Amino acid sequence: MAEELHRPEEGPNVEMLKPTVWPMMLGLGVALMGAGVATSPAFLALGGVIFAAALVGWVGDLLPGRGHAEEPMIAPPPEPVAARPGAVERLRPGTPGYRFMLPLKVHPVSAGVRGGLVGGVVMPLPAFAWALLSGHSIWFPVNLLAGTLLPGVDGTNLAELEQLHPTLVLIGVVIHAAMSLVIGLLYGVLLPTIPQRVVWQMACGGVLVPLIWTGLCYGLMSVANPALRANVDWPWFATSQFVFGLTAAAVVVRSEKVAVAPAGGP
Amino acid sequence: MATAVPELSRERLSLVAGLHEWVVTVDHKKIGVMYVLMAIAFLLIGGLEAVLMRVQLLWPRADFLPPLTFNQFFTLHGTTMVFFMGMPILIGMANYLVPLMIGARDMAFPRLNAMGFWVTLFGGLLVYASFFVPGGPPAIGWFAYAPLTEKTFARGPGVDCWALGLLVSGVGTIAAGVNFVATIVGMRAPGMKLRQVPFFVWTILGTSIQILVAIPPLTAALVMLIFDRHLGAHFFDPQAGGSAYLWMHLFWFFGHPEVYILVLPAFGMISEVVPVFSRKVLFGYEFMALATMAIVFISLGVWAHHMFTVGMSRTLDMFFAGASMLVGIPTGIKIFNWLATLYGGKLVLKSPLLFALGFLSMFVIGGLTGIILACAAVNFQIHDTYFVVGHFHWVLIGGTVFGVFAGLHYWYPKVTGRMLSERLAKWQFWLLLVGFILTFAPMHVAGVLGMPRRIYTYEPGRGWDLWNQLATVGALIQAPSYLIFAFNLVWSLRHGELAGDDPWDAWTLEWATTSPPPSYNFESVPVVRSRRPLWDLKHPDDPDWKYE
Amino acid sequence: MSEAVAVGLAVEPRPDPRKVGMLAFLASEAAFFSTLVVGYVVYLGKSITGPTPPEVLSRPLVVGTTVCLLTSSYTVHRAERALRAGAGGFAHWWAATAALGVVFLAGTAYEWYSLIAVHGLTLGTNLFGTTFFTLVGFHAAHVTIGVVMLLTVLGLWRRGHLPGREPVAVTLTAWYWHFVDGVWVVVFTVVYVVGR
Ligand SMILES: [Cu+2]
Repeated sequence: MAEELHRPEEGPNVEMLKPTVWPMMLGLGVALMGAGVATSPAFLALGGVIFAAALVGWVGDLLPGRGHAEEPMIAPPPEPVAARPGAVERLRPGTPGYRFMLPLKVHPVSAGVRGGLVGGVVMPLPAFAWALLSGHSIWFPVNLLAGTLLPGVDGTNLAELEQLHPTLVLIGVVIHAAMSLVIGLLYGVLLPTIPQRVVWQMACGGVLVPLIWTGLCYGLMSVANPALRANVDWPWFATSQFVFGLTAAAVVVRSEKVAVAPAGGP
Repeated sequence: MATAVPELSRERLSLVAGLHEWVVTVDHKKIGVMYVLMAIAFLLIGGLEAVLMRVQLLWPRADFLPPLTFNQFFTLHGTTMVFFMGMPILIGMANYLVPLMIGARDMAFPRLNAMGFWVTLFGGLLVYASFFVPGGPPAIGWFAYAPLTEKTFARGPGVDCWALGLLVSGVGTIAAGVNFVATIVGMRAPGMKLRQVPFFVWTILGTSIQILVAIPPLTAALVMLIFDRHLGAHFFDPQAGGSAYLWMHLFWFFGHPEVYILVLPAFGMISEVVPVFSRKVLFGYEFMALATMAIVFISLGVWAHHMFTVGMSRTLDMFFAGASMLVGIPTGIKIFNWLATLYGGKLVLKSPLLFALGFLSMFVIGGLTGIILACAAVNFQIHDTYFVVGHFHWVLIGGTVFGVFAGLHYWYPKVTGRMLSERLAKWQFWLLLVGFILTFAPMHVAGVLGMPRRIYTYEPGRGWDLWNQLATVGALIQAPSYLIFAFNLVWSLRHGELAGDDPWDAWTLEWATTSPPPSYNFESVPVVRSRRPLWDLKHPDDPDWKYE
Repeated sequence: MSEAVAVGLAVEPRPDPRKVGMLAFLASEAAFFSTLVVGYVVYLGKSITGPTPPEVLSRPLVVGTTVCLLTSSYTVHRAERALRAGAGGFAHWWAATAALGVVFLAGTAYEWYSLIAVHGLTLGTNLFGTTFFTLVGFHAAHVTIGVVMLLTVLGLWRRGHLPGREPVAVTLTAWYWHFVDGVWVVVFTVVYVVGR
């Protein structure tokens, strides 16, 4: 019943639906039946009769040729839209008031992925260094990392955490690789959006993000696995984050810049 | 005039014939106007109930309203404002605007549309018919917790009137949801892609999806309640093993999305007003659309944050708290996008923008108290206190009502061909803003001090007196602003400045036709190539579609 | 349209709003039935008094009616195909669908009769009765509405009111019928397989 309506018609007539009382009557029937349930069966019967009659009437309206009428387009047409060529000037570099600054060239996002991979390779070094310096085995940090995901691993059995567990190593490596990739990708996306000066980019990627990340981990671990939190040496944790951040940021900063696609379409 | 045969249209129609024309109309614009008028009538009724309740709470141990009447009034006030004011005014405005905005001649199902209006109206009348039944109106609160609603505790037919009124009007709401989805998906002007519709249309699509998912469970719950009361079923009857808890889940599964049904269209109106009045395109249209859909889906999974204190498991508490806070993210995206649209714009401080700015500042506060309440641990302390009352009024008035007023001031010239009085609008705005803050800010304090909601009076010496008195004074300041608005609507119809087709120099299709538009909306619909088709017509040398 | 072609825009075809509307309506129906199913599942085994589902629900009868209803989905599909192919047989397949629906309703009526008269299970007996009659009853009401729709469409088609090979009334009625069938698959699984 509707599809024909929305195409603009040619000529002075347009086919519109005829006004009809049946929708209102159907509504009245439904409401009276409701009132009947609440109060007295008489309303129920009356509502039912009205409802049935309205339904039949409505179906009648749906039949071809019954529900529609040609309506002449006699209303005054809208005021013609006046073209205002040249009334608007778009801001361009150099126009007074222009504040929009975009770099012409930025580091590619793929540099972030590379940065994440390199950072991921370098990052375990401080972790292992800490393990050896503090008298743990090198498997200890790996097991701790895997423990952030596995519920069974916690601080109750420290001797266990010193041993080599192939499953835990595998999980640890997967977590580490995935996180390195994701955070690296984040660097690739975010670093080009901050001011294009090496100092800023290194400060953001090498210091700010690792700090935020350390804080986030500290907070989340206290909810997810508090026992594990006690076993992590947080200054060393932060150190390895800085190592990752500085490496990844350095890879991004050193990458070849590529041209930004021009804003707007052709 | 839309429906009359030509020879009749020249004669002066008598009152009866005029009324008849409205009763039989299937024109989406007339139906939209009827929805809005109905909603404003219910707004005044529900507002009157609120003012009477505030007067009762002015002093401790006051006896202005008897306890039962007080309980009936807060039940009716909540029901009225949600079902017969909020939803109808939004559905009505969407009814008027969506076909115009997408360049269609009418909704997809015009007769169904008319039916939807009439059942909504009759549903409202059915709820208010409870004044004439033994026992009077229901005294069950708008969320009608079982087993208070069972025959054992509520003998009179008042609860039946309430339940059936909501059931009947729910049918109309679902019909409107179906209609909007079909219209928006299937009836856009040639060339207009879904990512080119005015942003209001996106929010109506979101609201409609929520209507389709959230209202039927309420319908089912109401059916269960009616079966309990009339056919001896035991759904919510604890003595036969039934569970009051099921009602809570079903009601809030509807009830939470309902607040987004109520606020998304207001988001849409703000998204139309802010760009036009800051003379800039909407910032981040795609992200706004994504955020709308994110709100639609996330908010379907947060309902039990209304139920922290009934003793769900710790895990569920954490899940619902987390999910509820998640809604803050897409909502925040929207706030920042509106701010970014305003930033650097050439602001035109007319009434629509004034209300939009009121919306922006107030809604953020309501959103923040929402985050506080979503925190399960805090919620345990302030559940069912006046803090909650303060919060949701802040969202619904600061969000929906301010948004709707921005929209009504913006589109009134399109509907009537005349401008609303700016002077009256400014009075309305400032009275509303001051009165609103003064009413609902003290409620947060009273709530933190432990004042439970839904009490008809309170003991002196609890430290609640002052906050209640401030709130009542605020309500009395707020009340005239609504009356001024109603007066402005009527007065400007005759005396308003002539508006012309496009008084705000806007960009969307509804401004490309006459004010008011003819029954067929457009003589010919322009081919749409961008989000601002009217801009393209005005600036053929610099059209928008080059930049999209 | 022609204007669009003139400016070189490809105007993508729009979905038929009537079909979109039907899908939206069916989505809301799905939400409605989901709620009733949730109510049934939540109250499974919570009845304080008997009778319980295993005591009174007869599976052979329901398997029979289920086969009828599932077959009717096939017949309605054949009816549509016959109409689209322009071959005869639409009216037969369509009428067969309605007949199978009536058989299903008769089966349900017989089941209810034995539940009420023989086993004394009503809406008010216990939670099982409450949820069972509500869920199955609403489904049966939808089948009834479906049968009325089928017969109305058949009558209109006979009088030539539904021209063409794919009248939208036929398509939408068929969709509705498939939906009601789909709901029954869920109801059958929940009530007669899992819940018994
Ligand atoms: Cu909520």
